[in-house]
Amino acid sequence: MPQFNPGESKTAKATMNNPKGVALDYTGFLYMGDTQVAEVSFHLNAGEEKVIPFSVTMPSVAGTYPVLLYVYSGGQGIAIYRATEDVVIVSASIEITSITLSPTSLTNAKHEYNTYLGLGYWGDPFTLSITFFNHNNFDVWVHPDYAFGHLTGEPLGYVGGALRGFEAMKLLYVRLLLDTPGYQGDYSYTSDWQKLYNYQNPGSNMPQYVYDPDGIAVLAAGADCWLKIPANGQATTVKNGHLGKTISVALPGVFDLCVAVSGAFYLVWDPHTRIVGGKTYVVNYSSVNLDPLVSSVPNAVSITPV
Amino acid sequence: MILAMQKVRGQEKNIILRSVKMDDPTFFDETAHAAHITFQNPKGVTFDYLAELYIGKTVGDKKATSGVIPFSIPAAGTLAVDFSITMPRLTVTTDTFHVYCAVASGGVQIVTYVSTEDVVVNVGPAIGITKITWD
Repeated sequence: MPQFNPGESKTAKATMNNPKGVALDYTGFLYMGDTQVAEVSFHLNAGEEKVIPFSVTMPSVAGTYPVLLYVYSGGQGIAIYRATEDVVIVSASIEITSITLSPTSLTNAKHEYNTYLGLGYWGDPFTLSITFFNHNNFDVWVHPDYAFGHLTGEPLGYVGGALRGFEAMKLLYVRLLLDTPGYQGDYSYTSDWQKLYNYQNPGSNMPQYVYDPDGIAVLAAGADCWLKIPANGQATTVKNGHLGKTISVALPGVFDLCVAVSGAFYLVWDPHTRIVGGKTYVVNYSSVNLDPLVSSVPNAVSITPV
Repeated sequence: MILAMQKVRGQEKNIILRSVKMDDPTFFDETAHAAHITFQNPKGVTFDYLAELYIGKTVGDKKATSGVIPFSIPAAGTLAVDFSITMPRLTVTTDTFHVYCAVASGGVQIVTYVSTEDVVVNVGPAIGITKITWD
């Protein structure tokens, strides 16, 4: 069965002949499942055979699609042909290929840093590196979260939109709102999950906003920071983080590391209109979300008391 | 409908065509259609017949034919005989034809009838689809 990526542009080539003794005009309507995906008008002379091309943008939803060709002539339907092979639209897939933490032994020591209000404190520093591979032939944008905690033994993954199999613990640094604005460090609103997509706390190589090839902001991307994983390629984001200035969990302890990716998306050619400020604009691309992705490193870090 | 026929050649001494029932006389080419023809044997003995229904422009011009259908009619009896004709393949979008019915008996062509109304044959659109491939 032919397999294509969601939103991919392909050409269906239908071999058709006119069995009659006179030239005829035809119109062909190509369907994938219940959706018409192309329409072509063509002419065949008496007895002529031609390969008629139909330009098709593949559906954005993974699945198996029967391919049906309806042909009309003189205002009446004259043929319905089902292709011998259905088309499979594969699930868009990305993979977390590497999660590296350095160092892997930390303490609960407090470290000073300067704020415009005086000294602030955070915990031991570490560097987290996350590498993604994109198995699709189109670019994908991701924004990961990470946390230290414990794998629960339940299968790790998203069920009904909720992450299962990992319990995040309050081990990460939280910057107070009164701390120095624009300070070059980590920033988090919670002490369990850190959001590398927050514009004040992105990983490296994660600019804010995403624009489609026409330069139009992608609504689904919002104001978040995103890591672009090129088609059939990889991308790495690096985050210089800190433990929290006070750690409430019992030490020493060995903790697992979890990286979760929800909201990842890619763009498909899908001309439509968008109304902004009462004006209607043509937008050529739509975003399509990928399934959430999660990966873990068991026993990623040990934390000991000073 | 009843298609009216008139004698164009021969005599009605040994057989009489009573009626021709058929579909509306407008057809698509290369489609099969039936006609039901009632004959009468005016003689006092049983006769064997060979009848052929065909369409064409002139007598003997068989653009499409039912082929020869054998049948017997007892003395003074009547019989309905079914004929089937596949309309000819056209090289123009529409054409008209006379309907002929030729009856023979004992190796002799005894009578030929022609319709007073022509049948119209139009090209029925068709297409052959052999495969779909992807690039």
